[in-house]
This record gives sequence, C-alpha cells and structure tokens, in this order.
Amino acid sequence: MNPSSSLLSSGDRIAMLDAVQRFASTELAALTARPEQPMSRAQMQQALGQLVNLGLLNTQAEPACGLWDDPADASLRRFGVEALALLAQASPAVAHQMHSMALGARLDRLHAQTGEHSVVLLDGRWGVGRQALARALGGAALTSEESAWLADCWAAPQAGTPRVLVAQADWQAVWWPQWTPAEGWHWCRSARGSLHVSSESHQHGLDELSLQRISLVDPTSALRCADANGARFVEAAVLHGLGLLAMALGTTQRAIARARAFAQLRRQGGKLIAQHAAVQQLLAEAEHAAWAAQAALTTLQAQPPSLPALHAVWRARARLHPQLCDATSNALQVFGGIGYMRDTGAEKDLRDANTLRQLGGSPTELTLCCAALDELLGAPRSEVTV
Amino acid sequence: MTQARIDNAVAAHLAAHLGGHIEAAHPLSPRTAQASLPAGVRQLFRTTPRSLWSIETARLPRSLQRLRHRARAFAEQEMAPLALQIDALPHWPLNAPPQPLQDLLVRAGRAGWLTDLLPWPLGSMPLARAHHSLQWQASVKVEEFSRVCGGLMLLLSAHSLGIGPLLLSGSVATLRRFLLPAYRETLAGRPHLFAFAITEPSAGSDAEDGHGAAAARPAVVARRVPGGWLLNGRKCYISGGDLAQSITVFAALEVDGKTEGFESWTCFLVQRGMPGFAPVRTELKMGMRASGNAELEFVDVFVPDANVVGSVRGGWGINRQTLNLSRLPVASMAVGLAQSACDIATDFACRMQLGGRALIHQQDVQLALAQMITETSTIRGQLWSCARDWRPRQGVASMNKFNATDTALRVVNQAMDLLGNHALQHSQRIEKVYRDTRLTQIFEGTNQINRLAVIEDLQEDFLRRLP
Repeated sequence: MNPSSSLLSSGDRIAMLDAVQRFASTELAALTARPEQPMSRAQMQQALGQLVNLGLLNTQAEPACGLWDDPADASLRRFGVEALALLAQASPAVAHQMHSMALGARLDRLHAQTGEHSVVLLDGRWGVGRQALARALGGAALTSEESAWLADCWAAPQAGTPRVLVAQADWQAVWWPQWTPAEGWHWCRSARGSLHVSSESHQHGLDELSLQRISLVDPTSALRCADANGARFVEAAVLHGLGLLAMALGTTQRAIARARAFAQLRRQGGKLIAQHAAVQQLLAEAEHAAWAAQAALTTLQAQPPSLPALHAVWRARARLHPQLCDATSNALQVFGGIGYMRDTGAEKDLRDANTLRQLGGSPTELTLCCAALDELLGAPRSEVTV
Repeated sequence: MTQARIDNAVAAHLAAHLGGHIEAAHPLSPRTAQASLPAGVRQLFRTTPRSLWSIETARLPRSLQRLRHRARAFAEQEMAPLALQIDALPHWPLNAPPQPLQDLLVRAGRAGWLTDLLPWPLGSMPLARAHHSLQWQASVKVEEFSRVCGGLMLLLSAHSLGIGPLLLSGSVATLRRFLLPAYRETLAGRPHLFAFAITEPSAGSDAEDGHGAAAARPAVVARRVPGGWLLNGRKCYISGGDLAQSITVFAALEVDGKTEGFESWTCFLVQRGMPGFAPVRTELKMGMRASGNAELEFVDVFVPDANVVGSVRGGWGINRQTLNLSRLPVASMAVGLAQSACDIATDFACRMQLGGRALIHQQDVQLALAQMITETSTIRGQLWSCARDWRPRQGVASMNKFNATDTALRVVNQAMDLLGNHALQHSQRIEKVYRDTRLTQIFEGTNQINRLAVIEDLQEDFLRRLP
C-alpha cells in the first residue's frame, strides 16, 4: 500500500495521538491516581467509553481509523502501537482491554458479526504451542508429536482443559483460535452464555481486569470460521505481539517517570538519591531497555506496506520483555522499601509488566518459536519482511 | 513428605525414564555402569537415587539435619495450608490479625520456633546444636519456612530480628529481665513477639549505611528526664511492629535542646502499653502479606533507664551488628523462595501435559529446571559455608544477601516463564513467590547498600593498595 493511500494521514495520526495523550494524562491519570485502589468496573467502562468516543474502537462494518482496523495500513499500525504505549503509561489494563476489543472488532468485521463487543483470546491452553506452532505457520510438515501438541494447545476449551483469558469481567463474546490436524486453523466465536467462566480470585497484575478460565458448555455452540493457512491467526498474533510490546514499553516509561520524580525528592547520604551512581545506574539501565523496545517497535513499523513478520515480532518480544521487566524492577528499587508499598504504584508497574511478558507466549517459548523459524526460513534481518 | 517416602518415590521410577534419557536399568545408564566396577571403586561414587533435598541435608551436621526435617514438617503441616488464603485476604485492620495467624503464632510458640535463639533450659534450642552458629541454625529454619510462604516466614522471623539487640547488648540482666519472661510466655502458648525499629520516614538506607548516616538527621529523638527518657517521633516499615509486645527502638539523643546525629543512637526497649506509644497504621504491600508492616508513633513515651538496651550511645554498633546477624537469614529467605520456585516449576512440568506428554519430557524444560535447581543449590551452598562462622563479617553477610536475593529473583522469573500464562494465576502460587521474593532485594538494606557494605568492610585492604 502506498503510504499516501492510508486511511490515516500523518497529520491525522498526530492529532489522534495528541487526543489520546491528553485523555491518558488527564482523565485516565485521574482515575488511576491511587495505584492501590484499582479502577472500579464503572470507571473502566467510563474510560473505555471515552476511548470509543475518541474513535479508537471501530465497531462499524467498514474499516475506519480505529485501533488495528487495517493491519496492512502502516500508518494505522503505527498509530495503534503508539496509542497503546500512551494509554499504558496511564493504565496498562485499559490499554489491554482496548487492544483486545479492537482485535475482536476486526474479527467481527471480517466475519460479518454484529452485536455485542467481543474480546480475543490469543493464548493456547499452555502458551502458544512452542516449536510446533512455528513449524506449522512456517509450512513445515509436523511430526505426530508436534501435531498432537498443537492440537491440544489450541483445542476447543473443555471443562478439564480450560483456557485462561485476561479481560474485563463483563465481556459478552470471545474469539478464540482452534487448530485441528484435519482442518487446520479456525477462528471460533463464543457468546458468553455458551461458556463456563470462572474467575481467579487474585491474579498477578492488570488488577482492573479479571483472569478467567473459560470452557465450552456445548462444544458445538461456537461459530467456526475457516482460516486458510492460518493467515488470520498470523495477522492477529503479529498485532497482539506489537500491542503487548507497546504496552510493556508504556508501562516501563511510566515506571521510569515515577522513579525519576522520586529520585529528585528523596535524599540519602546528604544528597538527592538522583546524584548517587547506584540510582543513576538503575535508571540508565531502565532507559536502555525502554530505548531498545522503542527502537524495535520503530523498526518493526518501518516496512510499509506489509505487516511485520511474526518471526521478528516474536524475536523482539522474547528479547525485550525480560529487559522491560528488569527496567520496571529497577524503577521499584529506586524507591527502596517505599516502592514495595502498593500506594507508590512502582510495584504495580512491575506486576503489570510481568503480566504482559507472559501473554501471547513467554520469552522462553518465543525463543523456541524463533529457533524453529530460523531453521525453516533463516533468521530475519533488520529489514523486516513477512 | 518424609525423606523415606521421597526416596521410595524416586526408587519406584527407576524403570521409567524422561524424554531424552535412558532408564536406570539400561546397559548404558550411569547406575548400570557403576555396577560393573569393582566393589572398592564403586564406593568412590554415589549413584543411589536420591532427592536433592536428601543429598543436601546429609551435608549438614546431625543436629542441623534434625532441625531441617522438623522445620520442613512444621512448614508443610502448619504454614502451607494458610499461605494462599492469608495472602488473598483484604488488608486487615491494625491490631486485628486474622484468627488463623494468631493460631499459627500460638502453635509456633509452643513448638519452640519463637524461642530458639537461646539454648535449653533458657530457650528451646536443643543443646546438641548449641555449638553451631545462630546464623546457620536460623538459615536452615528460615529457608524451610520461606519455601512454603514468605509472609508467614516473616511473621515468625521478624521476631528474631527484634531480639537481636537484646542478645548483642551483652547484658545478662537485660536477657533475664526482658527475654526470658517473654520466652516463658511464648512457650506457654501466649506468643510474646519482638520487633526491630530503625527505619524512619526520612531515613531508610541512611539507617543502614555509615556514610549515609553521617550526613542524615535522625527523626526519633530521646530526651533525658528523671529516671529515664522521653521518646518522640515516628518509625516506619517495621516488620511485625503491629503485633509485637516489645520493640527495640533506636533513637538519637537530644542534648541541651539539640538533636545529635546517628552516633548518639541508643536502643530502647519499648513495650506495648507504654503511654504515648502506638502502632498507627500498617502498609498495603506487594507481597509477604501475612506479616504486618507498621508505622509506629512515639509521643512523649517514657522509657525507664532499665529499658536501655546496651549502653547509652551504643545503639549504632548494636544496629550494625544486628544487621550483620540478620543478612545471612535474609539470604536464606531467598534460598527458600528460590527452592519454592523450583518445586512449583517441577510440579507443573510433571503435571501439565500437552499432546498426552508431560512437559518434563521436553529438553528445554529440563534445561530450565537444571539451571534453576543449580542456581538455588549454589546460593544455599555459599550460605551454609559462610553461616558456619560464629563471627559474621559485614562483607560476607552482605555479599550473601545481595547475591542470594538477586539469584532468587532470577530463578523465580525463570519459573514464571516456564509456567507461562498459568504463572499469572494466584492458585499456581508462583506469582506470590515472585511478590514475596521481590522484598528480599530491598529490606535489610537494599542490594545497592549491601554492595557498598562489602566495600566498606574491605576498605582498609583497598586503601593499602592505593599508591
């Protein structure tokens, strides 16, 4: 696609980002000013509603300028990444919910589904299926063991083998991918009423969302849409990976900002802690990680018109999520004991970053996926291609 | 599970094998190869199947082996069932801990876990282990407690930190007046807890580092009055300060209306019920939630001369040496939490099946577990080696503390990656282990302060090398 044919001109993108930034730094920041008191469901709804009004979520039949509306549109993709990072600076949970709803809206549009908003579940029963997933997407013939692994990981969720969804508690429909040896990939859409849903009483991070185990009440109840060669799965996985990395970046930037502000106030040994090498090192290392993530996201966006390769997105996530978690941990360390208390927000940043790291494949698993694709396709170079 | 049961379970699986390995009965297995060697040579190597816990326990002296077994049994029977339940409770009101915690304290007290810093008959330490250092004993116990729950471990262990200044006062009279009656109450089922109060709102690391203290101004102040001292100010982030009956509080002296620096620090034993003293709030923390973290307020609290611990102006020395005594046990907390991560990850890898096969059969999972187990075993080995010494050095205690806690968090991160999206569930326990472990890098001096403490301890050696 020629950049000039984008649904979102450069000027419009900047204007929309400005609006997102203003919302994130004022209204959303006000709702999240007490980190120890997660936003209520009503406040979440209020925040999401305002983002819908800003045009971030497009629920119409035609693509517009919403988040993830057109993955092939480089300008829109860039907007999506930048908007999620901005939102995550105020609330990673709001960013994640908006991201999930935007992916759901795209699938609804592609499959002519209307009605209630949907969310998307892009984790298998355990992770994403390791090398078997990578080899399947890379076009390799799977061994029987790989086939069994992939089928089990991406099977329809049953009572004994539920899948774990992180989303606002009151979602109404969910898209979940399924892979079977006989039929390959399908996207399945289940209404909430056709699923058994149980919520975990506590979870590691993204406190405003809920960690839920879902399984089908009736295995035949889901709408099934074929996804030839898994093209839509790849597209969703790429967008999910970009979104998770962008949100982790935003979370880290917020953590660094908190720590910098504290370092300019707190004194130790007769001077501001910002003047101590120990604190300078912690902050600089955190900045290294944020810079690397920012650079990776920029590089991944630098190949219009095509979608970044899943291979490259996985590689960036495998490498950078641990660094971003270390960066948020560094930010907490700057606070010392105060950072361990929930009212400073530093520990929440760390828990949120840890959570984003584990979704859509852990770094360990994504490294295995990359290894399999390296073997099949060769390692992707810095000029990222599909 | 008892050691005999663990060993039986290991032996029962000799006929099976994990992915990428051969069964023990295979002609090429190490065990079969061993059998072909002459009897005398066979004695040079150990190949009998055993759990790592069993192997490492055997390295301890017998009295500490018994301690390790007892601590594990108590932890699994009394603490483990409460761990997730307490962690998930809403923040409870000050001075109103959940009943299960109070019951646990009673049981721990009766079992002698809160009175073991002194040998029998003064305390509950068996005479047979009295010739091993307090840090080594504490490290063995604390590891087992933190392995099942960091918060419950801290609930039971912060108490020992509070007692540290009494022991370091060098005063038999102080022990007789304050510690022995408290021990008797505790053993009788009425837990009398101690807490250690150094941190102030404007002095966290300054209270743990000489260089910082030299430039800082203490905020809790003691003024001389007839028969004793009046304490004023606030202490914060005091582990166990909400439940403690007795608190070793460090205060600077006010002389002629002027507050002196940390060099005037004096340790006072403040007892619950003294007019003007009150815990005013507890903090909502990331982890270790079973242990309260309190802010303490002192408003003209009269403390009699008899409650001065050690000498007037002797507080800084007591503080620094208490920290030196407690940093090895903090390292052992990290060892226990890392071991917990190893156990959770191993259990998950054995339990979780995909494609009809448990994860443990995958080579990358085995590599991850091997790394985690090895790192944990390494910090345990370093800890036990250093904790043998009855006279802990600041540098040795600090290097153990920061290295063990940094390693532990690395191990826990690896375990979380192994569990993947399941790691986020509270019921899987690993995310709680992460939250608990994160504190160990901060308290007893941040790991940055502990690194500098190593250099401080070696300062003369470095100075000698300067041209």
